[in-house]
Amino acid sequence: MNATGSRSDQPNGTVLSADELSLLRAVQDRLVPGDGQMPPAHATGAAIAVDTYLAERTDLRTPILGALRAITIATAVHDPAHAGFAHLDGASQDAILHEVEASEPVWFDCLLVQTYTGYYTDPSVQAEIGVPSPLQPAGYASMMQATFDERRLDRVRATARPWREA
Amino acid sequence: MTDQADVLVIGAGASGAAVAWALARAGRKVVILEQGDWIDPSTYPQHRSDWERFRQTTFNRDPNVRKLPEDYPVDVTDSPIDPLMFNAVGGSTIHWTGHIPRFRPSDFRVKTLDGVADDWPLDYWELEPYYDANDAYIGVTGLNGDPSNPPRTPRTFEPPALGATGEAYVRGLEKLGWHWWPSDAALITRPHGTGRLGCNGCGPCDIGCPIGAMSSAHVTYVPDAIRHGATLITRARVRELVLDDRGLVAGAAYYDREGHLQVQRARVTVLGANGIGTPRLLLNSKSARFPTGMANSSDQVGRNFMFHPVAIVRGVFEEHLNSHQGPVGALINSQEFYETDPARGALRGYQLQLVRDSQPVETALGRGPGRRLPWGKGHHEAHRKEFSHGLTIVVMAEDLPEAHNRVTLSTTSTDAHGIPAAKLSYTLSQNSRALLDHGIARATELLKASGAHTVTHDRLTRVAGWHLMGTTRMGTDPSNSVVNRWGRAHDVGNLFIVDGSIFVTSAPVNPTTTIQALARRTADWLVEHFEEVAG
Repeated sequence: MNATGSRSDQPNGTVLSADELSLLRAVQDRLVPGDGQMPPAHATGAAIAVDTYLAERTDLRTPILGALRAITIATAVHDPAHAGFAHLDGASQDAILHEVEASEPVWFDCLLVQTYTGYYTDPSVQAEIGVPSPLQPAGYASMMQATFDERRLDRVRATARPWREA
Repeated sequence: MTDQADVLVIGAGASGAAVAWALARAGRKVVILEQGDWIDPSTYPQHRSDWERFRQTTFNRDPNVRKLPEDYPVDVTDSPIDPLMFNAVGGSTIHWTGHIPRFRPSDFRVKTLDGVADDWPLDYWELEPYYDANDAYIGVTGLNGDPSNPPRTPRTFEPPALGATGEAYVRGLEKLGWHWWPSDAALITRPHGTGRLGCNGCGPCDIGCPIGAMSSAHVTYVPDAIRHGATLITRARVRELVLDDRGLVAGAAYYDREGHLQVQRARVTVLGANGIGTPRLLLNSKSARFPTGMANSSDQVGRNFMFHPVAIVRGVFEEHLNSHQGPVGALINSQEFYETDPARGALRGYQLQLVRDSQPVETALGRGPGRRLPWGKGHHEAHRKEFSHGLTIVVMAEDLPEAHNRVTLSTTSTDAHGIPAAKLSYTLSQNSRALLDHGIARATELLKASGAHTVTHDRLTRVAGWHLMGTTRMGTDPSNSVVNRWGRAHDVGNLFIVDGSIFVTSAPVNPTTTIQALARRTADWLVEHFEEVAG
């Protein structure tokens, strides 16, 4: 992780090749682009996170590698100049992703799930949306110390349906 | 072969731990076999930034997803609901929201009051002191005085303030004039017991509490049982119960941590392996005397399986509700629709468990009826509108026992030790469907009254099979029940069952406190009658 706690500066994957990792970063930036204070996926290390998941879970390899392969093939069809997905304009990239989402929905969904998981478990993202990173030991301790006002239950005490004697 | 124990307890979860503690405290030599291991508190995901990803893997609630060596598969091809459980010291009280409402007196008299199912061979008042004792021992948060339930002893700790999440619910509840009450929760808000810290509201109790605030069995009964002399053997996968030539259970054959087959002998054996694990074990314990499984002369072992069928209804609000903060499952309970009302077109009732909402990854993925958030340009805006802007209502219906809903042994799959997996055959009844439909409509009404601009629902939530009940039910007639009013097997005098298997009916509430109260009651009876029943 870098100084902000993000994993974005790890260059190489364990399972993914450098080319696959580069493609994944470009794809993820279309899936989760930057917006205001929210960083784009590539700045969070979501790609390295997915590589980690692939190393730990062999069940993810077929769908995610399959999705990347499908994106590569679709890119080749749409890009006669063979510049590669990362070099296309945003509209073209999105068109390719929509095409793969339609043709390989299970694989694409797996890629999306793991991208969201990698993105929202990144400390820099968690800091932006205001959740402790990690949750422990801080939690949200103050909310558990505020006391309940029993007067809120006055109506219920007066009107509740009784339990049936049996 | 190991030394003979007075009592062998199989399972170190909610029920097994409670009964082991009570018997060890009474001076009995107790051995507990648990197929899982201790969870090192430092390994809970909440200590890591990427904690949410472990919900998809090793801390998933579904054994068919985790597939850890200590798990056994459950064939769910014939069930619309996936059973959930955890195999470790503490059992499924590790993956627990700690919501512990009690049964009502009417829940023990279903046949008498509503003409369906059966009455229990005991009543609420007989169980009441055990509810109180269990609550006082484990440490609970709540508020006495709910007029919709019998009085109970003061809770260990008072509930925290409603907060923005609770206030939003109460806004709607007060408009509609419905019953509500702060949830009885098996958690502590200040340090209590040995090494247990007060809850700091971190949120995802359902993947285990890393600070011991949740009153799970592994931080309450299990360590105390060991202090009283009980022996706990972990990674001990029981293969079958062993019958002696007198027709009594002599103990259990189990695979130890290294995979070697061992036999633990005992004068009394107690099963606390949950509503699927217990019938699975009995059905796999075949002998000339019990060719269809131990204690199964009635052919009732595995039958009458009950879930609590669940529909999740979710509302999204303009306001920020902080609904990702605090214990996820224990906030408010509404029992407005608890008792039978013929106008609903169904017998019995349901509870509305008003809980907190999704964490960041869950929000993006779409929890329950939530939709997967769109990718691309609109993603962040969608996440901002959903995250911590949601309220989730769990509509939990009472399921009625039906003989065809059952656990059997799989003929096609096994666990890692070659023991047949469990197979679950379950169909949602028309009555449960009608209750859920009514509950969905009422939960939608409540969320709208609370101010939700969007409400969505699942008609039946698949990943919600938390409660596993009924598969070795209690009764007075050995021809249609498996155990008597003390959890003692009709067929085998020194065999007892204390988990949710023995439930006659399910009530519409979370079962754990009832399971533990029953376990403690059985333990007290056993202490008094040990020499009469022991082999």
